[in-house]
Amino acid sequence: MAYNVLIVDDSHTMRTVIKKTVAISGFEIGECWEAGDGLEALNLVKDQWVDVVLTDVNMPRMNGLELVKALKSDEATRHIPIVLITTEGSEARMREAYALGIAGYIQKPFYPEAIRDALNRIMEAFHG
Amino acid sequence: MDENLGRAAAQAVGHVFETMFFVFLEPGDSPAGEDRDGPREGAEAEMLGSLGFQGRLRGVLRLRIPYTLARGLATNFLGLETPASEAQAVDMVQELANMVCGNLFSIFDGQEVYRLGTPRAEVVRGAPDQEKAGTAETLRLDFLAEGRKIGLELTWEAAVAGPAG
Repeated sequence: MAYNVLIVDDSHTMRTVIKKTVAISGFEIGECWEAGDGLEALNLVKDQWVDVVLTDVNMPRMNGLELVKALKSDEATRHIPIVLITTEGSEARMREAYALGIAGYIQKPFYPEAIRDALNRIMEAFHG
Repeated sequence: MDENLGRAAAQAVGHVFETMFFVFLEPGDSPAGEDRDGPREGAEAEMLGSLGFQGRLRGVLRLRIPYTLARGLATNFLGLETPASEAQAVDMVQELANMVCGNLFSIFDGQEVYRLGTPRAEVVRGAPDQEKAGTAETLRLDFLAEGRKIGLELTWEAAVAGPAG
């Protein structure tokens, strides 16, 4: 089964690298969309079927944690698993993010295996 | 404080370069904290990435990378067959500074949430600014990446404690 992935990061470089990493990870991808911030991501999720969101935290307009809150508070999108991919690695930040309902947390910089393993684990848990 | 921060900074920079670029850094030839009084890498331009941070400490992190090295790293990082553009290198240096800062404070002070500012990067020529405001502390570290000098500068002061909670 192929999954539709949404990558949210204000850095075009990071979006490109994450997209390539996901592509070579062996994870089956259907569509792969990109958004430059949380607001753009929210608009995209309204129009497209997204299976998993990979999002940065520190972004303009709407940051990653605000995006998580928005997706989890909407009946139509609360089922979508969200993985934070962020430079911030404090335990307090991780606890806050998991409390909001994220499915995984990957600290940048990452090895490709970290993304592959997180995606496989999460999609198995969510879709069986 | 300086010693722990310096160790965390060196560890963070090394980890980020190794993981992102498979580049292993060596200590530079300038001792930490030495003032620089001239252009680095001869007259070659550099890319300067910077961002602010705020937690128990607040300040600015600056990362200086020789221009051609930054372009080369961006080319490899993005897996491009032609050299990365300046815009791509600028974006990569911004993200690099962001990653170094985030990793630095998760190593140095992992219990505290540090808010990171929006990273910026620009091409600069000549001597670095010697900004030092009021009571701010400054830490400078040099590293060698593929024989080229990379500089990290942290300027900080203790943040004023806010209300508990």
